[in-house]
Order: sequence, then C-alpha cells, then structure tokens
Amino acid sequence: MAAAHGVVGGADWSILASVNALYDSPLRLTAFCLAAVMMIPAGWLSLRHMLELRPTEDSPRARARETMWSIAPLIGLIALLIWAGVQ
Amino acid sequence: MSTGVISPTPTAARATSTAVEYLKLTKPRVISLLLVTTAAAMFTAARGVPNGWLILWTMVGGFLAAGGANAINHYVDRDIDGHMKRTDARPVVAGSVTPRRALVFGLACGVASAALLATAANELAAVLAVMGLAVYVGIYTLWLKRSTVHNIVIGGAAGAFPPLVGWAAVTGHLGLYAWLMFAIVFYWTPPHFWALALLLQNDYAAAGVPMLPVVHGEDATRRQIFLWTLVMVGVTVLPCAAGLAGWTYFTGALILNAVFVALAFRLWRTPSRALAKATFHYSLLYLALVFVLMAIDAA
Repeated sequence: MAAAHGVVGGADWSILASVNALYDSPLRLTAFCLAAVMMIPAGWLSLRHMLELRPTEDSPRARARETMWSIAPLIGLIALLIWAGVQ
Repeated sequence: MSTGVISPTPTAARATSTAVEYLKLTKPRVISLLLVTTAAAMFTAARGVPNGWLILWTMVGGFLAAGGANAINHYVDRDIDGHMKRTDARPVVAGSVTPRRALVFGLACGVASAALLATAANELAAVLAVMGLAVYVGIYTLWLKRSTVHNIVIGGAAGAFPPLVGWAAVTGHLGLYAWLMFAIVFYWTPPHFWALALLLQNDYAAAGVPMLPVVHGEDATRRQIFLWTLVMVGVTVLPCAAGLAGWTYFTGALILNAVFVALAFRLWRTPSRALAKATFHYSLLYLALVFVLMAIDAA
C-alpha cells in the first residue's frame, strides 16, 4: 500500500517513478533533452559574459547586485527544468 | 447649403480628443500582445473554449490592469520621456493630460481591474493582475529601469503575468503549465527587448536609461540576444517535457524557434539595423503564435 504512494521503507520513490515516466515517453524525453541542451550551456555562457562585462571600478556591493541579477534567471531555469522533468 | 455631413460639436470633438489621449496612456498596441497570451492561456486551461463572458471580462480586466500600469509609467517617466524621440509625443510630455490626472487614471484602472476580475472571474485572477501592475511600476519602472542593465530581464516578469491571469480566471489556481507560460514570456523578453534597444539606443542614451547596448555596446548585446534566444527555445519546449503539450505544439514550436534562432544568429554575426528590426518584429509574431499553438494543442 505504501509503495502505491511512492514510499517504501521510509524512502520516497515517487521521483524515481516520475523519471521513469519521462523515459517512457519519446516526446517528453526528446523535449527534456532539447531543453537541457539549449538552456544550460547558453545560460552559463550568458552568465559568464555578463559577469565579464561588470565594470571593475564598480563597488563590491554594486558588483554583488549585478551578479545576483545575472544568476537569478539561471536558478529559475534549473528549477523549471527539474519541475518539468519530475512530472 | 447643406453638405449632408453632420459636423461634431466642439464639445463632442473635445471629449473624443480627450478620450483618445487617455487611451494613448494605456499603450493599447503593447497590450494587444499581452491579451493574446491571456486568451491563449484561458483556452489552454479550459482544454477547449471557455465561457464567452469570462473571456470578455478577463480581457477587459487584463486591459485595465496593463493599461493602468502603462498610465502610471507615463507619470513616473515624464522626466525622461521628453528626451526620447519615441516617447516625446506622449500625452503627459505633450501636455494633453496632466501628470496628476495620468496617475489618478492609472490607479483607477488598476482598482477597476481588480474589482472586475474579482467579480467576473475570481480573487486569484484579480490578485495576479494587480501583482503584474505592481511589478511593472514598482520593480521595473521605479527601481530597475534606471539602475541596472538587467532592467528588462528582471522587470520582464511584469509582462509575464497576463497568462497567469488567464489561467487563474479559468481554473481558480495555478499549475506547472501556467508557470511555464509565465517563463516563456519572461525568457522571451530579453531577446525581444534588446533587439528594440539596438534600434533605440541613442534615445535610451539621451534619457540616461542603462539599456544593455548603451552600457556594454552593440556587440555584447547581439551576443546576449543570441544566447537568450537559445535559452528561450529550451523554455518553450518544457511543456512537452512535462507531458503537458503534445506533438502539434512541439513541431510548431520547433519551426518558430528555428526561425528565431536563425535571425538571432545572423544578427550576432552580422551587425545590421535591418536584422535588429526583423528580429524585433519576428519576436512579436513568434510569441503570439507560440501561445496560439499551445491553445490549439490543448483543444
């Protein structure tokens, strides 16, 4: 009964079941791989480029703020990718 | 001798002219694309055709919220709008509407939107519409627009609220698909807006707005447009990765994305005003078609 709810021996297997569901659907798997291949490298390159562009004469606080604005959309991307993948 | 044409009275003509000026405050052309995303989200959420009255009132509520935000933006930006050719004829700058009236009009539109959506749809839709207005005015216009090159990246969230409003109006809650729609608009905004910024960089420089091409130059902007386009492509296929959209959407999105990537790549490799303009115009069509595809796929 517990296994039906994805919990066996205290371990939560529902995420594993979700990943299996991803593998079982060609469309889902193709779309997931395409999304990961497009989003992660491009997002990383964009972040690196923006960090390189930060003026060196900026105060540490200003640089930290710009870094935060650069990283925030990337965190969102990773969260979305995981959320979509474990459906 | 009568010509058979009834001339409007001076009072009627003045009232019409005033109404047109207030309509301009709402930036109706910008709102039309937002309403496409709202309507498409409603059709997708309903997996068919939602109630006609609900569509109508949600569109009106969405227009009022976005129009109110735009009117308040005219009020806040009246000091810089006069420095930009694109905005120097706006009603507040031109003096056809006083700043105070623009502000009151914007706030009234926001209140009317909330009341209408809460009555005709539900409280969640009303709250989301007001949040969209608040993000546009508070986060984008007042805070980020004049302080960081990331202004339209983070501030782009404001334009991503309309599909949430549409989804909430139909279902009363927000699920993953609604947030993916939000994300599509959010990650579409940088390549769309930076293409426009390449065309208007002199205007932005004159007004002191730190848009990416003004601060870091055209080369950096064109590179970022290309990279963000790739990111956006990934986001647009996430509904399929989540099992929420099918092959119809996936195939259509791939075709639309291929054209966008080709334009962004050419713009990156070949500095050209014409290419920047083509990318900007295509981005408008692209967003509308991506959302229409989602609605068709869900039907």
